[in-house]
Amino acid sequence: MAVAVRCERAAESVLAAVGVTYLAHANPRRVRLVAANEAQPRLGENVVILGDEQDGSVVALARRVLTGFGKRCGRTCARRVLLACASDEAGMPEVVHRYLRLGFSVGKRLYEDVAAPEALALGGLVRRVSTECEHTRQFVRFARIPDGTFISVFEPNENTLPLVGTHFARRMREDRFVIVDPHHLVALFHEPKDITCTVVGLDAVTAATLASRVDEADERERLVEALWRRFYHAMELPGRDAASRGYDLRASWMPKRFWHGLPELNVRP
Amino acid sequence: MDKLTKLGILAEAARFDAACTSSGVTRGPRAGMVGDACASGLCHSFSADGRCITLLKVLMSNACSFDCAYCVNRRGASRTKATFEPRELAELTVDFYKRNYVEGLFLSSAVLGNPDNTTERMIACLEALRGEMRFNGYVHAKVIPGTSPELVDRLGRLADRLSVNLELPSRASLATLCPDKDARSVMAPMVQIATTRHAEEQALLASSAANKALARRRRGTSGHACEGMQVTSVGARYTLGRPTSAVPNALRKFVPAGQSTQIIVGATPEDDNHILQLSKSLYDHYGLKRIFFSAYMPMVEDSRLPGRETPVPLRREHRLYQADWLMRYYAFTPDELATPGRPWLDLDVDPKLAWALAHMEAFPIEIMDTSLQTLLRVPGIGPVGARRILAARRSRRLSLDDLRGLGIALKRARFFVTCGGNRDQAAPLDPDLIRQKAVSDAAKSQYNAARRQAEGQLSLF
Repeated sequence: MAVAVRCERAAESVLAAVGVTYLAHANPRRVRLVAANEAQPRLGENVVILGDEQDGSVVALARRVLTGFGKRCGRTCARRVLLACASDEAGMPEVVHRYLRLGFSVGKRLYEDVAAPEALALGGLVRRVSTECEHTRQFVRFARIPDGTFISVFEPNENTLPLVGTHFARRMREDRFVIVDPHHLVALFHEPKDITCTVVGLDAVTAATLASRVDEADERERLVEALWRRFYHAMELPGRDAASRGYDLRASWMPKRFWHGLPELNVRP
Repeated sequence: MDKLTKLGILAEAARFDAACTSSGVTRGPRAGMVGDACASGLCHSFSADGRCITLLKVLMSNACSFDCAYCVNRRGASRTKATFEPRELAELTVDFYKRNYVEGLFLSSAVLGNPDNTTERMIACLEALRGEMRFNGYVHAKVIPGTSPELVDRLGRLADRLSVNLELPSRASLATLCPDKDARSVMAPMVQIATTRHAEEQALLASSAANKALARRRRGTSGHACEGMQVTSVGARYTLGRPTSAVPNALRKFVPAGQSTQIIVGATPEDDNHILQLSKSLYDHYGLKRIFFSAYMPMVEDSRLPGRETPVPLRREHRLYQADWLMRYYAFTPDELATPGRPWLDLDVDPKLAWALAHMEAFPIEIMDTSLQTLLRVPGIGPVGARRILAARRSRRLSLDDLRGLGIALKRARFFVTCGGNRDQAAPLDPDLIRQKAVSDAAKSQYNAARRQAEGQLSLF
C-alpha cells in the first residue's frame, strides 16, 4: 500500500518522518514525505500524520536520524541536510527523504557522488538556502530603540534565521538584539554576552507586535539612518550606471525584494 | 559644518578607491569588544553603479597638498574642504557597524600638510576605534607615499589590511601625472609591509601556536601542481595558485589581512600585457593579496590626460579583473592571456575563452580522465565545477547532461569537452565559428537585452 507521511516544514519533523518510515520498514518505493500545507494524497494512497512533539519524541527521533546519518555519511552531508530542510521549496521533505535513503545505503560514497539525481536535487535546495543565508547576513538592518535594543524585521525566501543566529551573536556579542521574520513566524533573541541566539517560533500577532517596535526608533536613530543614506548615495560613481554598464548590476547583487527594508533606499515614514 | 555634510563630502571624495573588501582575516569575538572579522568578507550593500559597499569608505580629509593630474582632490581643486575629527569618525564606524550597514572602516586621506601629519591623524582615529570604542571588526587603511616607516608600522598594527596605491602602471607615467610622488616613495612602504610580514611569519613559525594551526592548514593543501603553484582546497573549490603563507592570518599582529594596491587603467598608454606583467611581479615579490584596477574616468581637465569625451571602456577593466583571477587561481601566466605580439585583451570574449580559441590543438579534452590543471583551462569550468567533476567521475560515467546538473556552464564548455568519447554534435570545432557563436550567444543574453533596454536602443526591427 502506498503511504504519504505528512510532516511539518522543519528539520526535526522531516528527519523524524524519515525515521518513522525506517521504523515501519516501509517499502521505499511506496512511501513519500509531504509537507503539511501541500499534502495532496494520490489515488489509493494512505496519509500518515506525524504526531505533535509534546513529549519530545519527534525531536529525539530526528536527532537519532541525523546522528546516524552523520556517522554513516560524514558531517558535511549531515550539514547539507539541515540546510536543505530550511528551504521553502515545494517537495522539500521528499527530496531530503530520498537523499537520506541514498546516504544510508551508500555511506561515505555519498559525499563524492554529486551527480546522483538525489544529490543533485538536494544540492539545488542547499544552494538556494545558502544564498538566502548570505542575503540575510548582508541585508538585515538594525534600528536601535530607546531601551538600547537593536531590532530588525527581515523576510527571507527561505527559513534562514535559525541558521544565521551564530553569525549575529558573534558580531554583536555585547548587545541585546532581536530579528523577526514575520513570514516564517520565527525570531532570534540575543542577550548581551550570550554566545548564541535563542530561536523562537511566534504566532502571527506576536510577530506583528515585535515587528512594530521598529517604529519606536527616535531622532538619534533617524540621524544615523540619514548619515548612512548620505554615505550610500555618495558612493555612486558617474558613468557606471545601468545604461553605461549595460545591465543593472545592483539589482542582480541586491534583489529588489529586499529594498523596502533597506534604509539606504527607503526613508522610514 | 554638520556631520551629514562632512560625511557626504568625504565619502564622495573616497569613492574612487576601488577596494572595498573586508576579506583576508578571521578574528573571533572578544569579551567586551564590538564585532568580529571573517576571512570571506561580507558585502552589505551595492551602490547604483553595482559596486559593493562593505566598509565605511571615507577620507580623513580632502584638503590635499599634492597635485596629481587626475585627482578631484588635487591641490587647488575648487571643492569644499572637510576634515573628520578622529573620534567623530570612530563613533560613526561603530554606529554603522552595529546596524549591520558595514563590516568596518576603510580609511584613506588626502595629504593634509605632509604624509606624516596625515598618518598621525589616521592613527589617532584608529586608536580611538580600537581602544576607546573596543572595535574588533575590520579596518583597511591607506598608506600615503612618503610616510615615515615608524608610522607605517604603527598603522599596520591597528589595521587589518594596508594598501599603497601604485596609481599608474609605470615610473614614467607616475612622474608625468603625479609630480609630488615618485616610484621610490610608493614602493618603500610596500616593501616595508612585505618584509615586516615575512619577519613576523618567521617568528610565528617558531612558536607552538603556529605549529598547531600549520598542521590544520596542511590538510587543505593537495600538493604542488606545477612550478611555483599548488593545488589548494578551499570549501567546495579546487584552485591552482601561489603557495599561501603557512601562518594563519589570525595569529598575526601586523597587517593580518595583507596588503593590496590599485592601478588606474587607461589614463596612460600602457597596454594590458604590461599591466598583467606588473601585477604578476607584485604578487610574486610583495605577496599582495589583491590588485584593484580602476578604469580611468575623466573628471578634471588637464592637458596630460586623455580627453573628457574618451572614457576607458568599463569592459577593459572587467577583462583585466578576469585575467587577474585567471593568474591567481588558474595558473595562467600574463603572456598566455595577452601576448607581447597581441598585448590587448579581447573585449568581445573573456580571456579564458580567448586563450582556448587560440589553442584549439589542446581540445577537446576527455572529462573522465583529464587532470585538474587541464579541467581548469576549459571555458565554463571553474574551481567548484572542477572539484565536482573529479568527485563525480569516481562514482559514475558522466554524460553532458550530468555536467549540466553539476553546474558546469555547458554553453561555453561544450565546444571543448567529450564525455566518454562523445561530444556535442551540434557544437562546431572551428575556432571562428565558436567565436561567432559565443559572441552571438552573449548578444542574445539577458545581459545584452537589458543593455539595449537601458540605452533606449530597442528597435522595432
